[in-house]
Amino acid sequence: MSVISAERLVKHYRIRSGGRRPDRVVHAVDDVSFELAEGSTLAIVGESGCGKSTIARMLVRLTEPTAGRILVQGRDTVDRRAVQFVSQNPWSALNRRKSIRHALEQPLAVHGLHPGRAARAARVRELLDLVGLTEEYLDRRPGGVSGGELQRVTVARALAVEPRVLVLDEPTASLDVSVKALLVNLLADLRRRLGLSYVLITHEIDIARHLADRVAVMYLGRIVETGDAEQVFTDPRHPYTRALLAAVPGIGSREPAPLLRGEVPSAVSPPPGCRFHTRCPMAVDACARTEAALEPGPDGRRVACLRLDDLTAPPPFLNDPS
Amino acid sequence: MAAMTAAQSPAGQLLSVRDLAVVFRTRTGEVPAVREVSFDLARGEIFGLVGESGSGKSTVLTALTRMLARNARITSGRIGFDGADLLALREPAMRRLRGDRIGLIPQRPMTSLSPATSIGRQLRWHLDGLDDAGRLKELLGGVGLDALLDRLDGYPFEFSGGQLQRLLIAVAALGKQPDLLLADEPTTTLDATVQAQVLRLLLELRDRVGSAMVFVTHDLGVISQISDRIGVMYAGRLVEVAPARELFAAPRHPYTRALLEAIPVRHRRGEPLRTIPGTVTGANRLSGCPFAPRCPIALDLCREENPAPRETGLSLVRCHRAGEDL
Repeated sequence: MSVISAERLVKHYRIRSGGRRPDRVVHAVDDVSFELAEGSTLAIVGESGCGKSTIARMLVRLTEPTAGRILVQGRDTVDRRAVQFVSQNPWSALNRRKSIRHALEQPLAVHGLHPGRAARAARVRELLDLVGLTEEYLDRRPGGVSGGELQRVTVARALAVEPRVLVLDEPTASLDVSVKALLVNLLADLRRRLGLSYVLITHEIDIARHLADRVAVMYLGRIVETGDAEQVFTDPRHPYTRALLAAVPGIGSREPAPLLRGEVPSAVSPPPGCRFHTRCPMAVDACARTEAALEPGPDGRRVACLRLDDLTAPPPFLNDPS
Repeated sequence: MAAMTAAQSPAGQLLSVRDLAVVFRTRTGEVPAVREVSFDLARGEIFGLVGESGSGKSTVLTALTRMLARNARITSGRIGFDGADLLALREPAMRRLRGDRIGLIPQRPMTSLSPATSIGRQLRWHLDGLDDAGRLKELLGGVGLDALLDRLDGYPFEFSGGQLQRLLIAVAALGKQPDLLLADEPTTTLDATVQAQVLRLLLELRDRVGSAMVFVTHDLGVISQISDRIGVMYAGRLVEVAPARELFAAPRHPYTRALLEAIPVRHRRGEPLRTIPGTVTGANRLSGCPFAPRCPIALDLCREENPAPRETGLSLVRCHRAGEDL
């Protein structure tokens, strides 16, 4: 049973050029579909501008898709309680002039949950306890609390309205290694205890590898490869997935990553054909003309590459995960 | 005296930092940000300085340029640079070193360039002889920016972070060819595939220009790829120094070990990550070992007395229990 189905999502942003010049269109997300199974974690990975944060914003209805639809528990209606958001930067996600108590009470008040002072106070204590913080934090303001603890507060706030799904947008990117580990453990623990499902948007491949059941790899607004996380991370097929995983520096390895030419092209005028062909080490002439569909392979994963049949050999440059 | 130690690198020594201490004045009194930090750097060597937020790694880097914030003060130490003591130099002499002999690659290229000046003009501010088209081509080509030759009238916002970072590397490293290059998290704001390009570029430039480098980052993966030797900082102290391969294969300080064990790739999928109990808060002020309150093998001695550095070969560790077979 899917708790979220995204069907052929498109998001285009129009930029006014002024004067007589035609407006330009940013192709942030183009024809992206995925399912989130109940109780599972889907990681969406990719580099800046690939559209992963736009997807996060559409899932929590901060922005509406240009085309396509999002079903939550099978229904195409906006349910602001079922899907909640945790952002990258807890400092900007919380009002620095208000107490942590205020941050946790606010969603309860907005949704009319746990009415009455005593009931609301009890729920706030319960939320703090869920994320492993003590009551002494209640009257503190964000300024006096560390980043790792603040990120716990934003998780607690997201949980206040008893959501089914958390959309986590780079939840650990601003945290130090040791604090990061604590938050990763907390997220894994909450998912199990509360039966939550996660959409984890991240550029941190090691975090995605650790938490996700399924993964979608995005490049310039499109999914280029999607499948079982273990499968994709240990045996990536799409040339972009391979380059991305290889570019993540392995701990203790001195192997320089293979170079990918150039940088991600502009989403205003994405390259014709396969959007990755301008940087792809395997591109042939046809790649500049034809965009490959996201084809399901025999092992259940889907890869959008014209040269799919030539991609079976294991890549020679992967970092050993052990 | 030993021929080669962590504090005394072999021939061609360029930089020698001894007992460096920096304090910050705050409303609640003086906070020691860096304490008793000593390390050496040979010409052409890349020294990685790794640590978490507040560990003092960037403060060490800034102290080397003597451009600390107004509320910071170097209270003791000596910074030997090619025979001179940087802390004893007058400001005009220090200014002559900056840029020409000690270069800096900042963390955020966007805020290090003027937003209102074309990049071609900014290049000419920093480098002489740029009207020679051949030199410009060589410079931009050297960092893979040949495509920018036609866009020199463009402004910084028209370029990507990776392009601007390479532009700054072209100026700081290729243009000036300094003896010492200081890099403060230079790839942190870049995407993985672009980061890989920049790291490789820095390694190539070191081979070509021969600059030594102090490379500061919180990213253990990045530091393992770029560094010859690595120093680990915790609460203002350099707790361990070792050649890169050795540090990751056989970390000796309990903090280094705990840090490496907290990384997801050292776990099976879904297995809880090992964490470090407690917090670093207040550790800067401790008179004993700063890691003692969180250390699984701390003794009473560790809480009372900060361990002296023990040196073996090119490595150094500050731990009372380092010699023991645990």
